[in-house]
Amino acid sequence: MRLGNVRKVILTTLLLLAGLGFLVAGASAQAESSNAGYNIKAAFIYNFAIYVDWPSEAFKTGEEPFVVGVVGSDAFAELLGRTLSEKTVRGHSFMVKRWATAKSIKDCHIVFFSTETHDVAAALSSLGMAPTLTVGESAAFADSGGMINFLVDDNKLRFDINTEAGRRVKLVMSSRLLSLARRVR
Amino acid sequence: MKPQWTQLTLAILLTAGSAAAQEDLPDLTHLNMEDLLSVQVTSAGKKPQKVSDTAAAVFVITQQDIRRSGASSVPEVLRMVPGLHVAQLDASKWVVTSRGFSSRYANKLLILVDGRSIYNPMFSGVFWETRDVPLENIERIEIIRGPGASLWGANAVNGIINIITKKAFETSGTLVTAAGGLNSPSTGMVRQGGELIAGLSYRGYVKYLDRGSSTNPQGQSAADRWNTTASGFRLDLDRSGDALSISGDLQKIGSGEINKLAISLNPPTESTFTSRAHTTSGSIHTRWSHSFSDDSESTLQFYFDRQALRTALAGEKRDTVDFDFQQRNRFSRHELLWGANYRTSEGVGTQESFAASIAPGVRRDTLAGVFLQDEIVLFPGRMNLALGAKLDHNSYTGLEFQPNIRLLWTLSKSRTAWLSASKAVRTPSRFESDLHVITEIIPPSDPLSLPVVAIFGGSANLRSESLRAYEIGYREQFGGRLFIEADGFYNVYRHLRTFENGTPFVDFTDSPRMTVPVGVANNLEGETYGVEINADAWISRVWHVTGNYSLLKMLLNLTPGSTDTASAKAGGQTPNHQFYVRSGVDLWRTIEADITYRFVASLPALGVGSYSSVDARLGWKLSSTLEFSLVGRNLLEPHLEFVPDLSDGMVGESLVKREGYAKLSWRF
Repeated sequence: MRLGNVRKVILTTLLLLAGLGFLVAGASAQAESSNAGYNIKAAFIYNFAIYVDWPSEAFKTGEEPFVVGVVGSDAFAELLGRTLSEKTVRGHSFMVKRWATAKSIKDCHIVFFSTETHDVAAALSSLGMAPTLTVGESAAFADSGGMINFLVDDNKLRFDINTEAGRRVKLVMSSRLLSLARRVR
Repeated sequence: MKPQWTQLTLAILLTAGSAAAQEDLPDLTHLNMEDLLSVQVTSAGKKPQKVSDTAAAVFVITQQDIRRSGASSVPEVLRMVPGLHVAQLDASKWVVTSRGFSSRYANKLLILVDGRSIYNPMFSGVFWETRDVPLENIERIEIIRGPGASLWGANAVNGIINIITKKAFETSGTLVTAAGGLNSPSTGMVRQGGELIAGLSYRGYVKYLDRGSSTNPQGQSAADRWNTTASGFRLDLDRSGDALSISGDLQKIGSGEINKLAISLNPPTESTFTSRAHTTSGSIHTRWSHSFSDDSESTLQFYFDRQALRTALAGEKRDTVDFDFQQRNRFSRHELLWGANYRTSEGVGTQESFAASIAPGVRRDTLAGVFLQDEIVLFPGRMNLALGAKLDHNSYTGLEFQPNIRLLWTLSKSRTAWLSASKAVRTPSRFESDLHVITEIIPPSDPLSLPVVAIFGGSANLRSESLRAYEIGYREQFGGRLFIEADGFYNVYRHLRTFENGTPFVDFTDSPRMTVPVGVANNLEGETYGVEINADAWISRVWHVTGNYSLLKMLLNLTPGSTDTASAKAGGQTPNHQFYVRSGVDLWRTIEADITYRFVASLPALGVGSYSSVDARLGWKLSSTLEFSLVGRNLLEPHLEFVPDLSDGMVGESLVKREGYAKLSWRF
């Protein structure tokens, strides 16, 4: 096809559709999604498992699974389960546990508190000195001493890190992870 | 001004949300954390942006790409973009063009920093050495090849580059960087940022750069040393629904060159000497956007820019004031974008030499325009059509109308195609009407005859160059780990600028001479066409390979009767082929290793041969606050990339040699 003919075809197609465009009218349905960025958060949680070091007492054997707890969001727990299903970190496979309330969480390496969690402050204090990385997505979580808090800014996901809280339970965060945080305390 | 459709379409990174059920959210665990930070999040009610909602050849450079490339200035970063020709002219100067017409005075590319145009209206181009943007402050760079004219006005003929800087709260804390090495610039920067009160953040920086002279192929100094002192600030105020940003900068740049200029009518008529060009500039830029709802927002922008440029040839001091307004409204199946802009720029000639003068000494150029774009959902989830047009009035040619039409076709969840047709113009610039340069003097052969003086003088009757561009593109995502994009274009140019010899005449006004006037006209036309293919592969979470190939053919011809000898060669000044590939690996959680290979074909009209180049970078996060990197660039043979191309009084060739540098970044 000569180039001149290609140009004519493209232009004619566009002009015809332009005419069509003016005839189009009507409402369109806009579905709403309330799970903003959940797959990005899931991918980050996978990376947190890689870029944070747990103290030796966190793993009794080399065979036990890496446990991620999710509080308050069954939808996210399901997504996280699917995301982590075939993956491993340092030889440990992943296991996702759901917790309906924040009262009785134990034996988790990472716990994610969704925005639907009530009384985050009590939950965090109930974890005590357990070597658990706490991840959240609300201002209340950050204010109560949560370790990694997600937030959305300018339509992109960011996170703030509280290293003090992590150090208290002997978690060591890689410099690479810390350098990517928006704010580090 | 950014239309909504260029807001991050880093096509490979699928957006997080979609209008449909959760099973549709793609798995992102093959991306590393830096990539995850670039992914768009959608929230309830906002229009879900699927993979590449853009019916244009868009390429996005992220902060991670910038860091891992080992580049130390913006033009070097642009080397990774398909369709762009980036050539280092000498230690301070660069040639950057899109889809052809490479020249130091390239005038068909619009460069913006945060929506503020930084091109010099003197010649409608950018002297890259005079516009320093610290790479650590850049959030991303969006490049669109092809005309974007319907939203940004005249001169975005072959493309737009928008350098978007980070918002102030993204750069809290202190950052100190220092770098130095062999054949490489020594740079230092100190940046401080923080939050003044809730919602109000600031940052300020001071930066210094010094790059020693390079050598020419004969081994002598090219006298092209470059130094920059720059400082700037940014303030961001965010309240729900409102965002206000104020930024400013101040820069002082010196760059060296070797000149060969006419100095007298009697022998010796010319002199070859080294000189330094000085540029001082300052600007202040305010941008305010207000969202009425998810479907409606307004943006208002104002900037003031003052630049004083002084070279051995001539000097000019220029003040520019610009107002921009943009409104976006979404309703039923339409997304309407419309706006207006007003720009006035006044240039005062500050210095003349024997060889050059600017007349009239003072000129004010005004550009005022309106634009409108409607993006219509023809078949939801399948086909979108965008119709746009800009109408503006400029001081040289009056009214110009630039329409475009774009069609986006979503073939499936992982494949999109698009078509577009546009018209764009490049309006005349000051140098084409006001600059007078003596390009050559032939001394009298005997005491009775007159010296012959060839003098370039502009013409106020130059018309705009015009382009009709027909473009096509295709994108496919293979299973989340491989992305391929191919873009093709066919451009028809008319009324391109040429330099024409006028009738010689005997001139007694000053000391007697025979004058051969060289003027400008619009006697070049032709076609260019090409293809750009780029691909991204995530071989594993720690290994990412990206590459592209660009093909360009230029077929230009003079209209009958033209006496131009320079402009018709333009086709031989841009390479026919370019290839780029970069492989990046993350090692042991704290080390990044990248290696880049580039090939650029020859420039026959300039006698510049083809070359290959290899760059390598090793980055090491020593601690949460300290990062060290070791970079080698141009590790293969020393080579030329470009030579002075217009009779602007600059001569000399600079060899691009092997470079190595070490850089330390301390952030706390």
